[in-house]
Amino acid sequence: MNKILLFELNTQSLGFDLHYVKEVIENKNIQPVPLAPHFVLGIVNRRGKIFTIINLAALLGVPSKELSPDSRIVILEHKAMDIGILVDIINQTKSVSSPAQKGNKTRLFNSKGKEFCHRVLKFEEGIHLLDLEKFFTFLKEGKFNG
Amino acid sequence: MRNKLVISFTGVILWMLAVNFLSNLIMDSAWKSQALSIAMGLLVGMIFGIYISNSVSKNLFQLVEATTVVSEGDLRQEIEVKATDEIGKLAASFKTMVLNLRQIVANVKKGSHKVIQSSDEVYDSIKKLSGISEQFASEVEKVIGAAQKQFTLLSQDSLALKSISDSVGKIATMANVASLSASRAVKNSYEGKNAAESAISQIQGVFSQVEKSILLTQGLGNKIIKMSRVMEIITDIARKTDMLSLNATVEASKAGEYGKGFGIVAEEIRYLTEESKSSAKEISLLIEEIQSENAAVKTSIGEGVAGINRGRETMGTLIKNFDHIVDEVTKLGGGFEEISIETNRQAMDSKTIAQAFEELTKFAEANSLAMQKSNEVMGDQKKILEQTKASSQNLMNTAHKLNEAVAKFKVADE
Repeated sequence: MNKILLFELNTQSLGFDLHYVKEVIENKNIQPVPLAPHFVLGIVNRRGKIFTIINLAALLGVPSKELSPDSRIVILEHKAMDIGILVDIINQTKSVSSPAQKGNKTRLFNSKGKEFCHRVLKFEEGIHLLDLEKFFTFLKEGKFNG
Repeated sequence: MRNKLVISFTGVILWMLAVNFLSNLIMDSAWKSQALSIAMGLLVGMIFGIYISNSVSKNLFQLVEATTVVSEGDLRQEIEVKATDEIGKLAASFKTMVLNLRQIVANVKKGSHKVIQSSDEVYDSIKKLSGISEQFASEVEKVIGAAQKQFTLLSQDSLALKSISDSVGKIATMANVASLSASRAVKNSYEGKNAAESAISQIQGVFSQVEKSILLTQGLGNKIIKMSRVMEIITDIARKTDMLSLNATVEASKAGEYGKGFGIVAEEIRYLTEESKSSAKEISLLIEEIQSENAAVKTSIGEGVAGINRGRETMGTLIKNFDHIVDEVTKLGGGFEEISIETNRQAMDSKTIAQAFEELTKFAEANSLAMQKSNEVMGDQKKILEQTKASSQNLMNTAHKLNEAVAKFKVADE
């Protein structure tokens, strides 16, 4: 039984495994980094540690929304690699017993988005599950321009 | 003649007596003597008779001749009278008669000539007169036409004048009314001025009230701003609590079975924060509304103040205008009074004129009627003239006839 964190990018509902979440922080004090890829917003200093913040909407090809007080930075942890992603709103956490089904029912994603979000949660229509393993692999490989 | 007859008759009788005596002497027989005396008597009687008849009939014959000539109309002859007897007397009187007749006829002839001449002249004169009278009649007809026109024009004028007089009368009453209204207007404008002045003082009171309410709304605005700041803090706290509860949930899930109860608590906290967040949001919205309404009140009060300022200015000008109005209306009232007096006078005058015109119209009517009558009289005159003409013609004819009748008589060499 996995716990899923549900959030939104613009109008698109998404979710990922709560297991990867280290912390949720406010969207504050992001410092832009020169010559970074287009999906990198900048860096944030959190209790002396530096995190890179990814604009997940830009990476997945979902139209960006203006920042609001509800937008959050979710810091993920994967094998000694911590990274922050910007989401527009965090809805809830949910326990899911059955595995997600295959399927891609939105046209909002680009090829990367389709690659990372190829599964759909069964309990509610239209919620795509983000495959964080693939996401981290993509980041580690560093083939951002390909 | 009677003497002749008596003498001859006496002679005859004496002769008869003498013869009778002589015969009686001579003759032996009575019969013979008687026959002789009768025969002698007859002879002598015859001789005497012839003599007497001759002497009488000669003069008578002459007289008869003269009367025959006279009866044919010749009065020229002179009648000589020699005899002294009755015939002579007759002849003499006949002569006198002829002389008289001659004179009369001559006079008649002269008279009839004169009558013809005169009647000719009269006829001519009548002809001329009738011509003149016809001209006069035509002139009179023209005059009648003119008089009728005059009458109609005058009656129209009279009507027009009457209506003018009426309208002038109306104007006079209107001017009276206007004069009264002007004086009322003076009073009203004074009242208006006073009202405007009191309105200005009232507006000043309103203005101070408005200033107070502006201060009040400003204070309210400040409090609302403070309130919204407090709400921001509340919202921030809610957000932070939300995040903390989320992180607590994350930590609880990582703790596995041991963190399960804590996870539930954290979840509950999260729901509460969601609720407080939404409540704070509602309150914020309400505050925003209050703020915007307060701003609207402020702007409307500002507008009101501007309006009041403008009103104050307008009232100032209004008072000035009222002053002007009072002046003008006072002047106007004086003017209206004069107008009223003048129009009253005018109304009287026009009434008089209208009456005069009415009388004039009556005169014109009478004139027209008189003209028509005179035309009738002219017609009568014409008839009389015609009659006179006819009479003069008759007279002339009669004179001619008389002349013809008298022409039979020859009086002198003509």
